[in-house]
Amino acid sequence: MRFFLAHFKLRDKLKTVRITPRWFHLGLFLIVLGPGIITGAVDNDIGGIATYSSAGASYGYTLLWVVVLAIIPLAVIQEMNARMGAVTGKGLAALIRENFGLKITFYALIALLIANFANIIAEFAGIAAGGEIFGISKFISVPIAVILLIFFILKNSSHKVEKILLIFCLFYISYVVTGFLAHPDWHSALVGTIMPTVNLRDVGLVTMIVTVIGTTIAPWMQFYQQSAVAEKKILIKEYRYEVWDTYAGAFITEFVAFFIVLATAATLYKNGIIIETAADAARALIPLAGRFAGTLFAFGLVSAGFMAAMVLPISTAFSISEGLGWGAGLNKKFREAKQFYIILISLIVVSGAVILLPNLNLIKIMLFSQTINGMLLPVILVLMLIIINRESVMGNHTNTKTQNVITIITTAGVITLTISLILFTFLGK
Amino acid sequence: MRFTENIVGLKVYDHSNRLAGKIDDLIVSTRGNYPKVNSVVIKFDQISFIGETPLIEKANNIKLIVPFSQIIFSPSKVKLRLKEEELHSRYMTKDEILVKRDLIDCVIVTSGGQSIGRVNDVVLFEVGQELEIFGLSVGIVGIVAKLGLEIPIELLDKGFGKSFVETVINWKYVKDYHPHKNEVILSVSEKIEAAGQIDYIQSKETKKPSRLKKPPFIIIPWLLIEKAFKKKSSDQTK
Repeated sequence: MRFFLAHFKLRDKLKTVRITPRWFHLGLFLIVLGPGIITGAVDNDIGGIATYSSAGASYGYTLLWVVVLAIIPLAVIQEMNARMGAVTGKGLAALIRENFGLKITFYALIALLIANFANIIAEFAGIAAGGEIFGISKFISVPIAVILLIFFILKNSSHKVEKILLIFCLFYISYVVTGFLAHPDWHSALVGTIMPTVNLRDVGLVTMIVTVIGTTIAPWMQFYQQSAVAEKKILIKEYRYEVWDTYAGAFITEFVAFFIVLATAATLYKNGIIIETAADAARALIPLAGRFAGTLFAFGLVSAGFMAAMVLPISTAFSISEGLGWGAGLNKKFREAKQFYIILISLIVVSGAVILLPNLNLIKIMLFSQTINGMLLPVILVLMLIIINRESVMGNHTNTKTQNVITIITTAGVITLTISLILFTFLGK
Repeated sequence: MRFTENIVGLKVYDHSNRLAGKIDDLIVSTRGNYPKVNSVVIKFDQISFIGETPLIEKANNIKLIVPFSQIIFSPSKVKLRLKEEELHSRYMTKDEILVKRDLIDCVIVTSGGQSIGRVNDVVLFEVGQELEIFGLSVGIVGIVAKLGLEIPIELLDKGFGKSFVETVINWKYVKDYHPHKNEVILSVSEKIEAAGQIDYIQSKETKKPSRLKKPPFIIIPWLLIEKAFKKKSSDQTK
């Protein structure tokens, strides 16, 4: 409550203080900034880093154009969520329940829960692997991470958690620095970025392109960003700032991804090293790009894992609680949102505990999560398209014809890619 | 006791017992302690008249609001009392709401501002020839039943030897509702236990039977366990 009062006071202050329009807009942008950038940053979680590292290690600079191109569908889809959140003040799960009833909501939420649970396990695996590079056993790093996460979440309002997450976003600079430290061949990188090359006969290459785009757009992102916009009470009149926040988020995702591909292309690809996980990439970087570069990469890994292990449980708990009508949100006290906090804490504790189990096959868990995400994403995108075109929900802010053409083409493209990804996964190619 | 979800979709027959359409929604007047269903929205497959006015050609899939007094309601089917051309369709007024569209899936908020769930279904009571809203079904059991997953509950019911309850918030605790916000506001703060509950067994009797066939691999072991329990208890009594 205090946050909202402060937030609104600041908004009023900005309107009364004599400032130039440019500073006024910048001020409002800084207030609204958060949901889009955080969603974009968390998109480069452990799974994302693994995919981009693998793309760079296996195909060098040739896939940089895919990373740049992925900004478009990401920005288009996330903008719809930002708009729905600002117009309705509700999260995506609530809108799905109110427009399509319990059955569709329930099964969508079950799929989201399973996929996110597998993802959270992978985030803890990243924290554990990153910690081990620094010589810290997973039996120390994971419990510490669990305690810190619960402490951050229980002790802080959504506003403070957002601030913490924004600080974590800065740590992604480590990947940009690593990219420079790897001394890439800038000429080849430029060619790879602006000259798309696809050899359709190379099944491995096509699979990698599909995987890169499939990793970039995941269902949790739609649920998270919309609920973050709704919880922050961003109004439709401030929506244009939220659009910039969303576009900035999409840009940051791919900017960081670009440097991860660059770093691994310049080192691992050059030396013919193929990797499976993000931790493999960090370990392999040490002898090739120096201890500092490898350490930075591992630091980025721990930070990305920690950030995603905070965002994903919040998003999952919020969506489930909202879909079933329970109180939700970090601004609420425990007794006001019992179910929300129970789901949130259980997800963190259980995922942390699972990582400590011996003989855990992380690659299988990741593939499983990717498959569930791939099955859920088309459903969510179609539901979103229907909702955003309903005047009864969106008023004057439904999609225009042009927006519909762009979103339908994007949605169809993303659906085709994710279905192909599932097929590639099952066909084992 | 009836559940709205079981009434919506019921087939509607005309006065000569031919299929005319199906129930699409129920309309209640919000005046009074327990709102009465005063009209039903019927989706006619094909219609030649609107009121007494003949149409230039038959219209398909038309929704009309028909007063409750013009239908004969039974749990399995609905019959029109009058001929098509004698039906007096009407418009909704300001103090009326659609039960399915405006109440089901709404968030239930206590007077303290706490969200306690969503309306899974609206429970109705038959009073003579009329239907009245009794309350709002809320809670996990209601969700499970609505998803058509009654079998686990039935097994748990038998297993624990006690009946699971479906929580129904009595309509008298409903203070206000905002269909545009999808919210129902209660007059009570947190003590929802006082609002009223219905046994799952009791509610089940009035519901459609589950469409799922009982899988034998669950039922057979359960029957064996049940038999063993019975045998054990009869041995003990001996």
